[in-house]
Amino acid sequence: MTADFAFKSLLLLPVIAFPFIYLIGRASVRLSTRNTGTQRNPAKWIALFVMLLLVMPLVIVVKQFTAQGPFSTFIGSIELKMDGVGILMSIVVVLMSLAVVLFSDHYMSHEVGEEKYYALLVCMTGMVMGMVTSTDLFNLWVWFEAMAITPYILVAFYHDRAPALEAGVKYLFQSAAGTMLVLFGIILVFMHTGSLCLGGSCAIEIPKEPALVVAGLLFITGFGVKAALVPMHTWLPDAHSQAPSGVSAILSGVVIEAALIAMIRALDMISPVFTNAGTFLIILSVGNIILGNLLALRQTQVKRMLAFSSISHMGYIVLGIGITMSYGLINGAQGSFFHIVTHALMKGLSFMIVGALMHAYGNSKGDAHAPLEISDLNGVASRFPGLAFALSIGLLSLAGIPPLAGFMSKWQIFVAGFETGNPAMIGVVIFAALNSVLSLAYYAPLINRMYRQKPTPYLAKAGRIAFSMNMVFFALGILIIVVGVMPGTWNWLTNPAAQIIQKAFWGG
Amino acid sequence: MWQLFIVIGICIAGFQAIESKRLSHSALWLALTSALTSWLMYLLGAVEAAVIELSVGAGVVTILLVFAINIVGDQKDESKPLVPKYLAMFIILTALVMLGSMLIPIQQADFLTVTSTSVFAKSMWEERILDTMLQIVLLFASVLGVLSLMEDRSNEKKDQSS
Amino acid sequence: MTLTFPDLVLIAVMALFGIGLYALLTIRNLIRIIVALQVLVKGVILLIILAGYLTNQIGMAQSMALTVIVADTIVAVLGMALAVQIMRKKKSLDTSDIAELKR
Repeated sequence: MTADFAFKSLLLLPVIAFPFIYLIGRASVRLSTRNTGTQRNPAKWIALFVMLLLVMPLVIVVKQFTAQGPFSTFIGSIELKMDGVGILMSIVVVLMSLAVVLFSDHYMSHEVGEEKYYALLVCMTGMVMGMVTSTDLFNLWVWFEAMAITPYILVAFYHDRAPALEAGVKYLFQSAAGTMLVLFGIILVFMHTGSLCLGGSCAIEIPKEPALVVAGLLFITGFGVKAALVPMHTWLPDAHSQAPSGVSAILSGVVIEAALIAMIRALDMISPVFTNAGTFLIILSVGNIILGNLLALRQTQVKRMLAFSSISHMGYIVLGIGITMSYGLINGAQGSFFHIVTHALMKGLSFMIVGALMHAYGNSKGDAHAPLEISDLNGVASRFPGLAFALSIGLLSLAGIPPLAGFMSKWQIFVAGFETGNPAMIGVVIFAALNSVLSLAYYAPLINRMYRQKPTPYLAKAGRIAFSMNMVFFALGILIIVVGVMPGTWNWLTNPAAQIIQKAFWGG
Repeated sequence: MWQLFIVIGICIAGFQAIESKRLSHSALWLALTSALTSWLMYLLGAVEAAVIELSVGAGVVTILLVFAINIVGDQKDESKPLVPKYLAMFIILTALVMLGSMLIPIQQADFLTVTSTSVFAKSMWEERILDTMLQIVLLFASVLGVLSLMEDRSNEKKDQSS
Repeated sequence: MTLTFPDLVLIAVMALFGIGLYALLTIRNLIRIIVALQVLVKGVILLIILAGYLTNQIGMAQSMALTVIVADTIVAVLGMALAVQIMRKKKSLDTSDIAELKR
């Protein structure tokens, strides 16, 4: 298989496969209920097969990338370029989707509409990979819109529950308004430059028009809705807490970061005119860090708390990228990309374990979708010691406790902040570091409850955790520890990605 | 300058679409906005896009809206606004005047970098085939979405109780 | 200052955009929010065509406009499906009646 073909199949395989996952799953459910009276749904197996099949072209693409650097493919006249950022996001999204599909095997079984869930999940994976590799501003928007459509449906998946519907509506309307602002900005750029080319092989000259600054602000606001930057974050806690847990994991671990990547790509095109973008992002990141932490402190539902912690982690990621954009230091963006990887791992792990607990409590509470309250964690370690340990690893890593993965990536971002030598910047970094300590105030009580408190009566009657779930948790937990102990092993991935950002905004 | 009347018409129809008290009237005003927009598009030389806008924007969307309004009931909307109306009006007008002063009058620059064709079909089926393919993905995803949202989830509850 | 035809179109675009944003700030009825989003979309489509006209790439602009029309009709349809479900569950379309998730 040539690299070009591998790249194309990486993008097109999910797109072609997802209708078949639905159709075959649906047909099988119909036939098996009619003939035997029991439901048989092969959708998850097809989805798993597709995800495993995706690993093959991904490996070829990664090999090609490490051997010869970035390379492109053309569909029509639109160039798709696999560069450092693209390869990092592709690896993260395939890894996370694979984990989520495995996890959902038990979590979603016997749900109504299971085949739609898997079809949309696979579709979303493809859309994320397409979006991070697109080099055409409008094409980027189309991928972005397609990536946005699937979560609307997945968030409102339990549409017999009013909160899920409310979360879906909020998400749909806020991000639809956001995508319109983005599109307005894109067309302003198109109108003033006559081109939509970004970072591809067709360099263009950017005229010094004030309207392009307006376009930049529109990009920050519009993509910021999807990336949950602070004044536009209000949909996130609802959507992430109401979605099925596997979807929460992938929304929190991949989709909001992908939206940020889209924003950076779009800002890259107008960087000669809109030079203050980095400063804007740093200011927004401070808001994200503090607000996410403060609001997470008052939550009583675990998934909601994790959702707010996603907002504050988004702040760290934006901070690092902002440092590179304003000062040209490679460490900032490298730390951010590292944090994207580690955040996906640890937030994915935490969301999925909480989902597994919700599922286990389903028997005893009589409602499989009842939110997991913090008090439900009491004494979990006595019944599920492995699970409690894995969740502790995830949470401690989120809090940034060395030597876990979360500490290493945050540390790199903070170091970059100190390297700038700018007093204001150092102040921001110290503030962010203090917030990282503050975040222990809501992670630590959860761990304390799991190990020290008396179990609730529900716990004794809770169901067991499936083997496939435990396998996923084990793998992710080990990864978090390994990445934390050997952070240098990820440089081959994060360094080229950070170079893209540095080159885009500093030309060097 | 007779096109000024279309612009005024768009402003009135657009404003009525969001301000008229009954939902069904809103839908009809939206259809008028769409029709006038497509007229402007026709005048700019975008014939195919104008036809599509007329059939989808003024046709399909209006039918679907009327259909949805039939299900939910044609109610009068008298809830209090989210943001005080005058404040909202002030914010929007300021932003628009600032943006307008930057953009108008339009200075038409020479674009030497023009690479794309001016033929719609060629652009759609050859140059931007990826966009067209993604539209199909979007359509299928939305079909799944509507099926998923309209699905009866009650038999799941039966499973749990048994 | 005399206004040329493109200037007039640009004024129409900004009017549509302003009306749409104003509506999103003030409106609470779900169906009407869909109408407001559609007004925004009309403005954007018109701007795409105008940009194509100004840069002599009308074919490409039409192709882009078609994509936007399809994408946003889909969003409107999904929004309507959600609104219908909410009406069934909550017997109201007002966002302030629906809200029960706390910050």
